[in-house]
Amino acid sequence: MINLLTIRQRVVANGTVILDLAGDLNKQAEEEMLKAYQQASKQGFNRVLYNFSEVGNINSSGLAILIGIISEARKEGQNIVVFNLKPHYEKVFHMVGLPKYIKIFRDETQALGESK
Amino acid sequence: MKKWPQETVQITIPSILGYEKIVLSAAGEMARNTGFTAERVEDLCTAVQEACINAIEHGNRGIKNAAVLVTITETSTGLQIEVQDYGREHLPTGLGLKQPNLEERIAGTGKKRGWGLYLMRQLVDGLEFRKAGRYNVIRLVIKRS
Repeated sequence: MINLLTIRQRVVANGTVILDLAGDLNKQAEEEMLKAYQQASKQGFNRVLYNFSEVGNINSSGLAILIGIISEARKEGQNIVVFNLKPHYEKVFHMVGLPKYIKIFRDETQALGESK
Repeated sequence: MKKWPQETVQITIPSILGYEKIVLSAAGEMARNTGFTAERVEDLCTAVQEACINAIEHGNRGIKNAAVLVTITETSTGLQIEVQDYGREHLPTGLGLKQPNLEERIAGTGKKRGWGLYLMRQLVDGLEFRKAGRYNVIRLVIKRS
């Protein structure tokens, strides 16, 4: 029933890392999300791309976790990018106002090409 | 296309995070079989999920055996969903009317939570909070399209 979030890190270029998320982005995902971001940050990546293709469900607790990460990233001068977001959740991200602070792309190719 | 006759469904879940997914599965299935568009099914599922999480975390303060009772009723225009908890936290009327201040939250000065009620307001056609004796009831009204 609880689809715990797992995160795989892929280094794609100097300064850019992709975090492939799989599972639900909710309260139970907090530790995993923070750990993955902090690790990428410690490794010196200044562009962190989140791949949502395998994310099943996002709730308000998950949004709050992401907002916290965006807040940290801005302090560190890093860019947060998301891609492969399902249309419903893209709508939700717009409702919350996130596009003012992060870039949202349709897929990985577009995210890698245009998020520089 | 509508496939099911008009009925009311009741589901009771314990106040444990994760069980709200049972409710959203049932509500989603009911919506799909009573003529909702795919987009409205997703809006409904997110709103119902937030109402249940609110009941679990606030209304019942996570006390596992304090039940959350969900009643899903088909109406002429869509579905009405009532989510009832034990009212351990009072729900003032007007909750979720104001958009949380994202700028403050990004700056690290605002409250971290509070998006759930706002999303509910945005995603459904009607949202009401009321007291029924000791209980809190959140009523969501959502149209098929």
